[in-house]
Amino acid sequence: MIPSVKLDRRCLWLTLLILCYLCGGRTQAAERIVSINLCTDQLLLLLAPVERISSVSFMAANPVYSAYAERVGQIPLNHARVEEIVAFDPDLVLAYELSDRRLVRLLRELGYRVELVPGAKSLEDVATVIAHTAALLQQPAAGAELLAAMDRQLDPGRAAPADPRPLAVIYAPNGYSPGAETLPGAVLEAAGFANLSDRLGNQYGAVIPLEQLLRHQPDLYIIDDQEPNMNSLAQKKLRHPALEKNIAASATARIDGRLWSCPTPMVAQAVAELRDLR
Amino acid sequence: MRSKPRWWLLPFLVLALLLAFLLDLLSGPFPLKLSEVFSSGARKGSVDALVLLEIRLPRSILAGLVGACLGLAGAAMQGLLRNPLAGPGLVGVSNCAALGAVITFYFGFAGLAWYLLPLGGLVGAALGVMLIFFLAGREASVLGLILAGVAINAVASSLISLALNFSENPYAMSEIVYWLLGSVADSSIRDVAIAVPFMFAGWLCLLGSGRFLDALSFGEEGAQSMGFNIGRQRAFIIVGVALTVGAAVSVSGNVGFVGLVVPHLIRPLVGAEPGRLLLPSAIAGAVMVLLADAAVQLLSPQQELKLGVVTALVGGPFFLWLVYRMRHEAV
Repeated sequence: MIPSVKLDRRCLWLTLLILCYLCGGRTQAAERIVSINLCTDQLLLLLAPVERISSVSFMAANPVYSAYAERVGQIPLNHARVEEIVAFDPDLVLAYELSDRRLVRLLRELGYRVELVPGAKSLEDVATVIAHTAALLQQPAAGAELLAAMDRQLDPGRAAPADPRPLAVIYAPNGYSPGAETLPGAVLEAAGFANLSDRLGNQYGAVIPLEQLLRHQPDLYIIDDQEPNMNSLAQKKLRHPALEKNIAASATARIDGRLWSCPTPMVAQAVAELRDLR
Repeated sequence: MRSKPRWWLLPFLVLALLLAFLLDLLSGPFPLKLSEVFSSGARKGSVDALVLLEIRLPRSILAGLVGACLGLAGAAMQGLLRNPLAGPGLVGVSNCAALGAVITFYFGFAGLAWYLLPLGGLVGAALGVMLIFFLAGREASVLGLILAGVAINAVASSLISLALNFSENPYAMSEIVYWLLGSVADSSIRDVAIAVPFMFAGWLCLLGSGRFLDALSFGEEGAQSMGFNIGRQRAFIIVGVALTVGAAVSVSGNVGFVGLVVPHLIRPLVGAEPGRLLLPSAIAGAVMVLLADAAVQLLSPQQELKLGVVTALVGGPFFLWLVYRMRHEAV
């Protein structure tokens, strides 16, 4: 069964209001915000007006990895180094759940407010993260607007896809393939595909050896390589002649990795693109 | 060194090579249904045939070729430097080759022409051999050679990290393990094809130097009195080592200890002449890397170990024993 991707709007509105109340009651809206992670960068660029953003990470300006690179404009870039961050004298530093712990601890010891934005493993998580970040930034209206747009694109009224689901595999450099407990895995499931990585018991994703991949003969290969023209052994593996032959014989899609690398409304577009492949 | 050549050595090594090749071919995440492969020989698209021909065969061929190169280069270097510890890995030649390959691969030169990746490895290896030759000197003491090797290895491996750090590729940094420990996983026939011309040329240079190495074991004057042009012959061996090690490392990373261990195992069986050591060392090197490659696949089929982990597990203790024995003999 496809899990419900319907976002319970009333519940989210309530969460937003409570969070706003809690944040608003405690602090003034931050005016000099620094983000040090690609995912928090994108959320910040989506939710806050430019004049409140002091800096985003250098990754945010790279259109290969950042879905909102064009919004960066003249905003200064940082490399998540403590001296750079302190120089902006931020009243809020946005970091990701998995950001460098020592950096976060040091910033807090220096008296800066650092908020860790959680990661997402499902479409529901994405909605929660957007709502949470909007509340941190005291931009509830912007958050609600993003969620509504995402909701429309996901089209929760749509009929669940019929079984049997076609078997798909997401194959990234190094042969890495995400499982159900990851955002790409959740997108794949919402689009109505069975995930080879789950079938092999890799809930969190793992490297699938080339031989194993060939033996399972997936119906759809989704190649997730954001910079196919670069030279690395990890990417060379995606150009192995045996894989190329097998791919040529079945359906293949290239997906823009920016759509599902971070909990942004772009995941709805990823779902829509993959649904079209069914 | 006192023993006489054993007549059975070459037939035995060839048989071992065939068996090791078969074992490596049959190792993998899945048992291969050979009946399926042969019965469907003509039927295109059989998964077993695809796995055998496109994945396992190139991998095993490459493992054998790389091992042969390293074993041969080790035997030749030990003869040239007249030093039993002169393996290409230990004295830093392999890391220099890896540095050359890293620079050509990650900065996009390798894509310009097929021969540029092994050529990068070759240039690095040639610089490495020349460096060790000039640093350690012609009459290198064991200590001098090892110290020079430690220094060259340290500089080359840090330059590899530096080069990978400057590469804009997000995967580059994590691939340092491959270059420092070596692997033939997921090799294709393309890797074999680009390395083979260089490897064969190197084999010709080294296998043709047997008589010179024999003469050199009597000292430079001895070799000169037998009519050898020392400078030219030496250059020939340096080029041969650069070709074999450069090509091998550029398609498999730095698989350590093969060039050190193999000639030592073979030496008691071939007698005193370094020239006789060359061919058996090449075959035994191939056997060692094939067995190591089968081992990495059998030990952890899902997340494969690097080849260098296994060869170092064998070679490290062997090296310790060698050092112990040399000390013992010196006393």
